[in-house]
Amino acid sequence: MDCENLTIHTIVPFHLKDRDLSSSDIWYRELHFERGHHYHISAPSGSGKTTLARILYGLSTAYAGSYFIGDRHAKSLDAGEWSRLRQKAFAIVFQDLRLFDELSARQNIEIKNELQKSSSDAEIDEMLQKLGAAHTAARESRLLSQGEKQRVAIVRALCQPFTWLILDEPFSHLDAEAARAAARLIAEKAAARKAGVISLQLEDDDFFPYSKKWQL
Amino acid sequence: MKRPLTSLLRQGRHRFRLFIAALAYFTGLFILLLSTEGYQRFHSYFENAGENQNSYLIINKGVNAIQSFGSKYRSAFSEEEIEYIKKQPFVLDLGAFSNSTFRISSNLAERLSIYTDLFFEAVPDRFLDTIPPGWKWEEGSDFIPVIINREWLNLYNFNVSLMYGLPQISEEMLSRWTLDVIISGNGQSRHYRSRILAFSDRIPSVTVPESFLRYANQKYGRGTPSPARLILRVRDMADPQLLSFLKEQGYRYRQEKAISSGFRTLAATLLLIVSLLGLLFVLFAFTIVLTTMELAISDISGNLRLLIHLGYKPSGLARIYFREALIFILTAALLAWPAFWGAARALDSLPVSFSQGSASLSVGGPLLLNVLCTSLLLLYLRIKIGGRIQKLA
Repeated sequence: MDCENLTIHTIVPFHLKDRDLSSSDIWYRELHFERGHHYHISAPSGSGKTTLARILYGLSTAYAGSYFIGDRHAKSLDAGEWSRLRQKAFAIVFQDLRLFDELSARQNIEIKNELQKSSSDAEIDEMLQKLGAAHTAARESRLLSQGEKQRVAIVRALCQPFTWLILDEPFSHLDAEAARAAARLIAEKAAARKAGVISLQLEDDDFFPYSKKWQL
Repeated sequence: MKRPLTSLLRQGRHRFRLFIAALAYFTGLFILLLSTEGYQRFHSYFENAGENQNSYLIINKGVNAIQSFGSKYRSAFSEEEIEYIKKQPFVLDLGAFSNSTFRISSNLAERLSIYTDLFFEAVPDRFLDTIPPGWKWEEGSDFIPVIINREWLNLYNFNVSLMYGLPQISEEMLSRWTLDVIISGNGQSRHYRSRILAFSDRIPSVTVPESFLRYANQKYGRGTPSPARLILRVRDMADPQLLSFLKEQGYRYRQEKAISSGFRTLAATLLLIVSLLGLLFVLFAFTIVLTTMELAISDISGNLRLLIHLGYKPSGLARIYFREALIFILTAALLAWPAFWGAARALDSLPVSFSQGSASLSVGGPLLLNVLCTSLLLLYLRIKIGGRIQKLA
């Protein structure tokens, strides 16, 4: 499926319909995301960042307006097509991280990598190393700190092939230095795949060379 | 080392419950197959219109006090009556008993100091349950082959011989004896040799070939009279139409045949109850399997949802669950087959068998039922598991 461009056309989540959204650059607007570019979307808590991430990743259809992946209407895709997209084109770092508590950090990454097997063990080790999380590999994820979990979630997203990377507050539990290291790794992997990055953050930042910055 | 996916999904699986479900399915299938087999045998026992002796019925008219002093042939069947009976839809064939109208004396039991008068009867050969070699008579021959009712020998052996202190006689022994028979009438008489060639369970008489009786009745007797007894081959002994016809016409028939009708209803009801029980077990197993899989899925629905969100196909995950249930169900279905087979063979070895050797163990019906039930269960399971996991997407 063609995933070079993403287009949102006057979309608004049902639960935000009653709010005054006139100052938003996103809701009720038409926007194009092009592969290879970095996009920054900032907004305070509760204004719909996670909802937008879920819409872009295909987890929510509770919105009015249209969302196109290439020339396909997102709502017309079936479960099988979404599975293929999530294996090969869309990667995500969830705000709430969503690791399997009962698996080790390493297994959490492997369970994603098993789908396409695009990263070698050495590459995964290297990514964990770069994020300063190599020591967490064998530990059950429920025993990890939030910061450690966030690093594992980032590696899990990066180990697969992707055209689009959606980041929902990806550095919220990291200190400035760790966030820089994570951003460097993300930028490196995205560049290698010529992928687009959509970063949803609480505030403005300069982690990536953004093509556009929008307020939600 | 276990794959992370395997260890993740293992948590939600309830192997013990699946085992119980498979056991219930095995039991239900076993009962269902066995009752089907039972029904098939039962059906063939009662409705086989072939060689099964139970589809032969001997009828006669009742003899009352007035007839006892009246004409000799009041209780005989007229040609019109015979034609009328023949036309009934439940009558497949009809044969008349011809009886002797001449005097017969024999030293049947001379060796046992019993000298007796005899009578002969004949039926068309196709109504005999056994036709021994040498069963024919041609004019000029002085040998008369005879078939007697097996019950009579039993009566002698278990009553007469015990009462009078006479020796018991086996069928083989009796068959070896050549008897002298004197036929007389119309001022003539002749010596014949005779031998019992076979014993019949069906014909309660001293049966000789029809050709001999026709000849002897003509020569020594008053010709062949109208028959007093008829033998009918019917499709179904317990056919209510047949029974009500016999009752309406006032014909008598052997009482044990009437009992078979009641017995049939009882046995059919029992078989139906057993079949329903089997079906109930199968449905019960269906429910346990479905509930078990539902529980297994809902126990780790959060993990399954995350797997789908990470890119796992719902259909692929459903296949993993289905495969596990499939192993249990198929094992139960496969084991039910030899168990049923063994039990059916054991039924064959019972002293009293429905089949009476004529109906062999049938394969088609039970096999089809097994395949049908299992396919239905698996198909339903596949749809339910698929639907349940799809909902998580």
